[in-house]
Amino acid sequence: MNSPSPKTRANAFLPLWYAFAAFLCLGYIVLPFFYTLRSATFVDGAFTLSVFQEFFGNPNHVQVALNSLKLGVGTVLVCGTLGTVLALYMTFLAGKHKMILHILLLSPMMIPGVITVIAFIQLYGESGLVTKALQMLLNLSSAPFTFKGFGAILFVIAYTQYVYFYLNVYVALKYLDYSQIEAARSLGASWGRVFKDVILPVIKPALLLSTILTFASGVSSFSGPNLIGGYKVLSTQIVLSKVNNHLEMASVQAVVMFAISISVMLLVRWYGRKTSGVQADRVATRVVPLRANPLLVLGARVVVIAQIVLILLPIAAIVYLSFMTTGSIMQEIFPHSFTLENYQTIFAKPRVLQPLLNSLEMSALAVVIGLLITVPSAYIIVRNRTKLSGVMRFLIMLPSALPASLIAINLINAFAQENIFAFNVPLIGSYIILPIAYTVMALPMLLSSNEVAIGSLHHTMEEASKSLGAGPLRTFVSVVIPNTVPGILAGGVLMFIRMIGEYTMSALLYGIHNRPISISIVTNLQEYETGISLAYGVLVILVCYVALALIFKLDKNRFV
Amino acid sequence: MSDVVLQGITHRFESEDVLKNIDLTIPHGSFYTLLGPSGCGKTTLLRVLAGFIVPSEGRVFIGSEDVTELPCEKRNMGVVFQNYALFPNMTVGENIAYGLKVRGLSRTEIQERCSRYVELAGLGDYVSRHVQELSGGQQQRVAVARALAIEPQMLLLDEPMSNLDVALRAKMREEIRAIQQQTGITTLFITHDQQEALSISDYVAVMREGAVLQTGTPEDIYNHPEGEFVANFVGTTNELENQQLRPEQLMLANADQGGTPVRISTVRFTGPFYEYTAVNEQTGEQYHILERNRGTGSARSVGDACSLVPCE
Repeated sequence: MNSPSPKTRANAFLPLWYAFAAFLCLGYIVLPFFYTLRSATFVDGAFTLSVFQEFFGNPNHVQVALNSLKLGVGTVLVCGTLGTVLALYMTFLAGKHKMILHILLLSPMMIPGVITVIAFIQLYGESGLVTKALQMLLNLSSAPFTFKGFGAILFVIAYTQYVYFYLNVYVALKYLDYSQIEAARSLGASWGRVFKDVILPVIKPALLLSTILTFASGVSSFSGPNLIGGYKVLSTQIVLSKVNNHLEMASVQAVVMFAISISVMLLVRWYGRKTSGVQADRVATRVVPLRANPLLVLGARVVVIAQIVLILLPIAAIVYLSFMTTGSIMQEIFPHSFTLENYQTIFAKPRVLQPLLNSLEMSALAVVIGLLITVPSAYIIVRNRTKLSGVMRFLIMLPSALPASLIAINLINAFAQENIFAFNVPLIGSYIILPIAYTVMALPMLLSSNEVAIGSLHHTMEEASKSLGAGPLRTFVSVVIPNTVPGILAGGVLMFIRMIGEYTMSALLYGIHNRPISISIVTNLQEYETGISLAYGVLVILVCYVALALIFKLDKNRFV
Repeated sequence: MSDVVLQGITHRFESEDVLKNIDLTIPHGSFYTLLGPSGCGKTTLLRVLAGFIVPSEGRVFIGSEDVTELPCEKRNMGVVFQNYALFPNMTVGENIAYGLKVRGLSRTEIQERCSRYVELAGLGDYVSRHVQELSGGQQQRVAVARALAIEPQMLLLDEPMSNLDVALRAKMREEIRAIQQQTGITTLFITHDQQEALSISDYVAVMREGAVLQTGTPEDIYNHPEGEFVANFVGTTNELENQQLRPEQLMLANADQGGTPVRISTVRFTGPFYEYTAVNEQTGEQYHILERNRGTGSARSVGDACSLVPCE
């Protein structure tokens, strides 16, 4: 009997995989960042800090950085309040229609940011539906508000990013011990005290994690500031610098953005460690409907209803307007000339349809490449907890700390010329650069979702199959695949949704061969082809919802 | 007869010996229990037998066949895992039929054998249920039926009761013992619960830190423990007049009747028994005594002076 045991076979594969993962992570994540640092500090082949001096010496540049910071802080405050209130309401007070409310509250995450922003402009912009309705209702001679600048941008971001807080806090509250609340109440604590002493310690880790996530997305947000305007931030200035061929400045701006988001992230982590919250028992406890102050309940209910209206309005508006002629949208106060022309144009002209096909193809490609990298890696990490697998995990998770603009600038700096990691083919301007960027961005989420899917398959299940006489192949096909693939696919589909409307990296990296739908939505809008732009948006939303239905079919428990 | 023989099994994991030169013979048809605290290596030893691990040293024989290198899927061992490891993507029936399908049996044969073991495990009403819908006890029955359906050379049970509540544990213990006696299958059972081990087994091996300390029948182990660890692990012991005595092997007599003078320090009523602790005030030595409840109340109270003597 000399047949090698499965363990020795796995060991032969392991170093090969580590080498492969190291090649990809170094070539496409780590080294490109150093290319950016070099671009920011080397001018004409000599080390210099002159570009940094140019940035920090110019009050306009510094103001832009401060604006980004302010947007990040604002995002955390608004989203934190909104998301936590909604999570508390849904946990303690929601009775009827809880499931449908929950799905609705999660839905903003499922629509690409750029489409949301455009829908908001159609509603609240200078000639938006809500603006005009209010103007008529109040009999005003001009618009009751201007939808521009910090407030407007924060409004849009708050609407999309509160989901992080909502979902994380909602999940954390499942592990709250209800008898502790009853105990505190019976000892005479007010609801305020109960929140501070019982609830807050349990949701604190969720709050800190969400703070990191929303701050990062606030600091780096691009579609809001770019389309609404009136407020310059780093992400918009990076694109401007790149367009003006001042790549050194773009690199400096991207590094500054990274410095802001990473230092806040480290600060929050440090704070979290310093004041570690209670480790809740990881056992979900029974849910008891609570009797709370009716005024409090009413207040929370108003917030929920307002939020649901805010969520549904943009979708309704964008669908409605996509069936109007562009002329009617531009000229009539409340457009009512129904037409299918926008959709007909898209499907009749290959040139107009192409961006949609490009995005479908590139997001799918990114997810497939991402899964090919992360599925074996997750399997190794789950089954083989060693230092080496820990390093691999760290490298694959790195992009989660990088703003989208920085990932794009890194790739430009690394692959504008020949690079050994791309086998000396310049990638910038080629089709593949966008799928690569999408893949880099998707890697962390794909890896953690695969870890969950594979971790749920206990190793004894494979052993059980083998002890019953099944060989490795049979075990893989009839036990491993059916029990992990739904989770893996659901994670993949979710990333597909995230990537299909990606705008920030697309704006920096797209070329004539790979013009994505997000870019076409914006250019059509700017070229007064509003109808086409909105019809594009509806088609993307449609794709997202079909994909979402697929996730629910694959993995029912994903969001609950 | 195909006894299972483990010969000089040593297993190293990250340069630590988790099994140390273990010799063990499991007689054909017996119910054999490995008893020991967690981390003593009993599960590793089961995994060696199942073929999940090739030991660093030593041989495993089934009858005269050396199976040390035989991969688990060719070994024909029925394993019941601590967490049952049922396949969540299959129904109860599909779980039980899995090993038979793998063996390429005909459809009628699979059906016939499947229903026999469904019957044996008392799962008649649950065949088409999904395993997540079952209670812990039912899941365990499925795991046992699935392992038995392949008609293995041996049944290996890895702490199968540890996820059940106390009442169910006693019931499942009886069921497993009954099934074993009905089928006559050689069984290796793993537990850290001494009562479980004593009540269910033909033979017990007590393990500690990767080594087997003592093997024998439950009576041997309980009545003639070799060494302090075994004595204390399978029950409470008292040292009296250079003898190791169990609490029920001692009795309390009146102070004037000779024996070791002690004073009662606690009295605990458990229903069928009174449990006393008593202290020898000169030496400080503490004793545990168990007396049957005769329905007339406790004969002793805290503070009483008595004398301690071995039962006849």
